[in-house]
Amino acid sequence: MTKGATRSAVVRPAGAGRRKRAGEELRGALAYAESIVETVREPLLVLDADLRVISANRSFYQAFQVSPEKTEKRLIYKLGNRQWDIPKLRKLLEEILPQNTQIEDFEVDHEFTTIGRRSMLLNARRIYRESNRTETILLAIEDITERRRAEERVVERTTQLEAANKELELFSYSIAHDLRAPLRSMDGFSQALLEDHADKLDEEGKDYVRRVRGASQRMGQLLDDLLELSRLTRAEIRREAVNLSALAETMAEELRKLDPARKAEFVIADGLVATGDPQLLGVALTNLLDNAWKFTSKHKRARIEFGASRQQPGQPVYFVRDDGAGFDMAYADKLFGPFQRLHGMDEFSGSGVGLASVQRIIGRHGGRVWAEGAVEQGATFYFTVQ
Amino acid sequence: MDKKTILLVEDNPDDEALTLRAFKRSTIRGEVVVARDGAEALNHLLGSGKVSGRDVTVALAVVLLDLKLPKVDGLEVLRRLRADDRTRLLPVVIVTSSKEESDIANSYKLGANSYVRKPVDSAKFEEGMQHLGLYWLGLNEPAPWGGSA
Repeated sequence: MTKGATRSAVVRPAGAGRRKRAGEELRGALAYAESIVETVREPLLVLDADLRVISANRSFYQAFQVSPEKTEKRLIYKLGNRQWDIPKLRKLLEEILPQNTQIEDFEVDHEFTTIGRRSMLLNARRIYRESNRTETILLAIEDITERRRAEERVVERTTQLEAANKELELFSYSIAHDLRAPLRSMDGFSQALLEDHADKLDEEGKDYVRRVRGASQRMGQLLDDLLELSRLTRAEIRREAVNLSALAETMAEELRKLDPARKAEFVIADGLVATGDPQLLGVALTNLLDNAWKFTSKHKRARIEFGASRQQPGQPVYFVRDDGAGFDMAYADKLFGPFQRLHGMDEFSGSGVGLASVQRIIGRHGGRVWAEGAVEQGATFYFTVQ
Repeated sequence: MDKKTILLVEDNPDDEALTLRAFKRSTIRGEVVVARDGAEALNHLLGSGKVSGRDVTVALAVVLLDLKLPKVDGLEVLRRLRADDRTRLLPVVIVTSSKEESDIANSYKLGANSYVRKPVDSAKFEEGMQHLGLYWLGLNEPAPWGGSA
């Protein structure tokens, strides 16, 4: 207080200014909190210690299409058509204040009077106000009906897809299977013709019969490949440590035995072990090495390499490389399609299903397969396993 | 001495013809009798004992049984053969195009003595049939008919 000053002033008791500022701060904080609560899109309820509604936000009234009169001061269990009167929820709510627990993601499926059947996710916790020592419960309600419905649709679609897939596999399997019998007849009787009635056939006749036999055998091979391809997608996949180096060595030995006269060098890296299905990975590696062997067959010397490079830490990229006929990179995307061939039948035999099998197998292991090459300069096939 | 007999249960007339030709071109000495569906096979093995007028129960060395048969399929035939005392011990070789694991497993479970897959390649088919005939008619001793020791 200043001396000698005569002013008209309102006299206040000491400390009143501080309380006034504290009061303003409190009201400010409250207004701040309230505007947050009102803006939040999620329906919110504030309950007192007796689980009566102190207040609800606008989102709540809009979501449940009720009025404040029907909501405020009422026991939560009495709201609506007693949609929150669930024993398990009661137990959880009644523990929040005394034991300072929370409700996390409690799901309620209910036929609400105003809005129909919906799934709600509840979260609640205690709010303690130091100023007036009050405890309240803040209950947040999230409508997850759409999310649940979307999830159900996904599950339904996946089931339908799996069923359709399975049907298709069985269908192609039974077709390929049923085609075998007529093939055997064609092959068998052509051969019988050559053997039992050779005297009735001239050279041209015999040639025709041989072509029929050859065609039916090729078709048999195609069917076998088709069946194998379909089997690869149906088979159960095991996860074990597979010694790829050892497999490659065995295959190299077998290939050398097929044609000992060939000058072919195999360079196989040691100790390459991957995790996957031993049989399937064996088939994939066989296909790649067989290809390398086949496409270097027209060269005087051949170098076939199997190894791995670590481009990313922890994930080796395996490769099979040869220095043979190679392929035109322009057709690289056709390489892995079933029955796709980039060379004529008279150049190199094969039904074109080998690489498709490799892709299916590697795909089932979560890996990738790709190739680089150039005409007459060899090819490299890369693959990863998961 | 009675000539040994093979009962061939096969619905495909081409496969039947190729099998008979294979036996003819081999050194197998024996008779081949053909039943063309499962019902015919059962009828004659468990019923009248005759297939196309001939008594097969005598000196029946082996039954070559296809799986995919009209009327009664191969596995059902096998099941009934094994359930009947007269044919419980009768050697049965499944000869089929199927390579399905389940077919192989079920055949053995139901008491098949052997499982052979029909090759598509006719040369291999002929060779296979000849092997079968030579073994079951030549080397193997037939089981006593009637299941009695």
